[in-house]
Amino acid sequence: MSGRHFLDIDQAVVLPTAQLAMVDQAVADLVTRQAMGAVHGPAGLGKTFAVEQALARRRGQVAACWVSFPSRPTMRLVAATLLAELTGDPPARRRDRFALSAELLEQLADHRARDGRERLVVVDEAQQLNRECIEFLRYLHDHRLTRFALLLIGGDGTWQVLSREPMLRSRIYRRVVREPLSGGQVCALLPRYHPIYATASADLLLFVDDHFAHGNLRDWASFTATAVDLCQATGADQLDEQITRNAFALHGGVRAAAAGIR
Amino acid sequence: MAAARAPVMVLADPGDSPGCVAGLSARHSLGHGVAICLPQPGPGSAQALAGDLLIALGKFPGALAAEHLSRRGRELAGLWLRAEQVQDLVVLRADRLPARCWTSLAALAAAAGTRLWLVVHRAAASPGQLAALARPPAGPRPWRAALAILPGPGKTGPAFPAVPDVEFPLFRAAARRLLDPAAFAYVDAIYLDTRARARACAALLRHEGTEASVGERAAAVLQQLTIDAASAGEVLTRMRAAQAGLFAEGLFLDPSVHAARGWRNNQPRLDHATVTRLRGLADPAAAAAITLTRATGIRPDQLGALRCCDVSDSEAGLSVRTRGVTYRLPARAAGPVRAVVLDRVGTGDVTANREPLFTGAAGAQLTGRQLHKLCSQGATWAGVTLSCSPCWLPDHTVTDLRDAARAVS
Repeated sequence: MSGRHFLDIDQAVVLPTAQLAMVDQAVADLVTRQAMGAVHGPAGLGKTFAVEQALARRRGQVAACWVSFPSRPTMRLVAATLLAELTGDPPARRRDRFALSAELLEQLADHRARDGRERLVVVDEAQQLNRECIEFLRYLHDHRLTRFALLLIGGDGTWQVLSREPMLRSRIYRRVVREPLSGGQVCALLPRYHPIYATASADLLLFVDDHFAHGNLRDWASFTATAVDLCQATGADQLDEQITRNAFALHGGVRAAAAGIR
Repeated sequence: MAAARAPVMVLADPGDSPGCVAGLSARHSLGHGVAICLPQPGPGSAQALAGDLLIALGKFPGALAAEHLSRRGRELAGLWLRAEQVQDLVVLRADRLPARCWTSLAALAAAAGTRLWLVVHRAAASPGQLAALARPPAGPRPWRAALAILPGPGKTGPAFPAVPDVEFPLFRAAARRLLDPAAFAYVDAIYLDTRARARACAALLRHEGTEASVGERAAAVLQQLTIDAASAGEVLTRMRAAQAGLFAEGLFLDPSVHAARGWRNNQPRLDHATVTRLRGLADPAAAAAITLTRATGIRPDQLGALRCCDVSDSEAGLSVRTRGVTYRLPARAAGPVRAVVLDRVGTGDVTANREPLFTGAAGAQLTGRQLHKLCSQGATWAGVTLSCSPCWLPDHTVTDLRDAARAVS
């Protein structure tokens, strides 16, 4: 799997943020240690994208299995979904959790015997999990018959779920908290993000950030996609204040910042 | 044995540390009598606990359902606990198990003479859990205390060297010349031990007062001398040592004659991977039948004729006597055969028990055809083949050189 930009904006590049590097290092460490880790933070900060990027760089070393679950799933649903993802077969409806768990123990055995790659199970939207489901994942991870690294990616609430139980928190070997870009980061990084920002002033970038994006990468991508279209329509090659205000209007006006993470 | 020990110990891991689960799991070694059980989360039930115990005892996950034995879960867990001679059973996350499961575990462990370690990932067990034990332990001990008591993880020895494939008169000299000193020392220790044992078997091959032919006796002797081998090189080493030992006693054993082509395969009968797979079967009868077939090469109809008293236990494993010859099973593969004996006669003395070893649901002796089917199905499930060296050799494989000398003189 390779990382894909939100909205697939032409000429946009990956921002080399420190957090992107942290996620890359965390994935490498988790796979090396077959450990549990977490990447969490508010929506739109590029958590999933960063993990995809890290895995794309290690396609030859890591066999990744991505799963996500609806809100407050049961242990059986977790088992059935994970098994379906691992085997490629549709989830069996009539099998109980114990039968599913037994097959999971076999499916999650040392993956290196198959093609030399280590296994990484990535649970996206991990804030949906409740305590017993995380406990079930931990059971699979702790079992002596299995060998895989486990990465939980989630939005607000993920760390609250994990940290509520010391036994879970103590098992998190790598934790990366994704945070919105600061004003300084916006001014330093955005000119490299897309050609329309190449000569944009710091004031203009901060104007967009303060009134719309608030350091959120997904919002910056939305804004950029709109601004690129407007630039093309007007024949401009750089962002200016008029295009900025028009883009705000197309997005329904300015946006308030989301609540900060805890 | 465990009966003299405290029957149940409670270990505390108040911080539920990752090191506790990893450290204790690393001590899992059925060969050293240690089984580590990790129960599934969720409301504990007898059925689930039995499945978790069987996984700890080496069974394939889901073996009970796959082998249609779900109703015998608890019984089989107790049976295999005894058959594998588990000295220490460690149950992680025991604090999540209801009190009735503690009672059940304590009863199973007591019946098997196994020391039970219940690991609670908090400061202490609940009063209800402690009350469920017939003899509650004095108090929880730190989980690290177990690391000092449980046997350490078994060290894997060096891989058996690639030995020269030459005839027995040249084997030892060629090995000394071609192998580095450390590898030769490793090979030679096995060679000398096997050669000495072979010399002690010479009288058996000369003994006429048995119903078995010379070829059958020769095959049984070779089986006893080579069954411990876990690699092709080790089989060859033991085979050459056996030939050398018998030759020193005036017997020439030539398994390369045309009619003995089944013996030219130097693959080990019960290497570690095969033993692990056979151990994965939950059905004692299927596991034992395949183990015996692999170990001895006897046919299904001969298997059906085995009686409980034909099996005897020893430090070095099991002995199985049939049709005037004795075969041996190494300790690492003895569990399945011990399990089927226990399944038939319980814990009593089996030396006088003449009940058939393999019986059907109605208690009738299984026929050769039924045992063939049992073996085939079990072998498929376990992922092993049934083919191995047969239980006989042509009589002319063995030449008594004393007779030949007398004839010449």
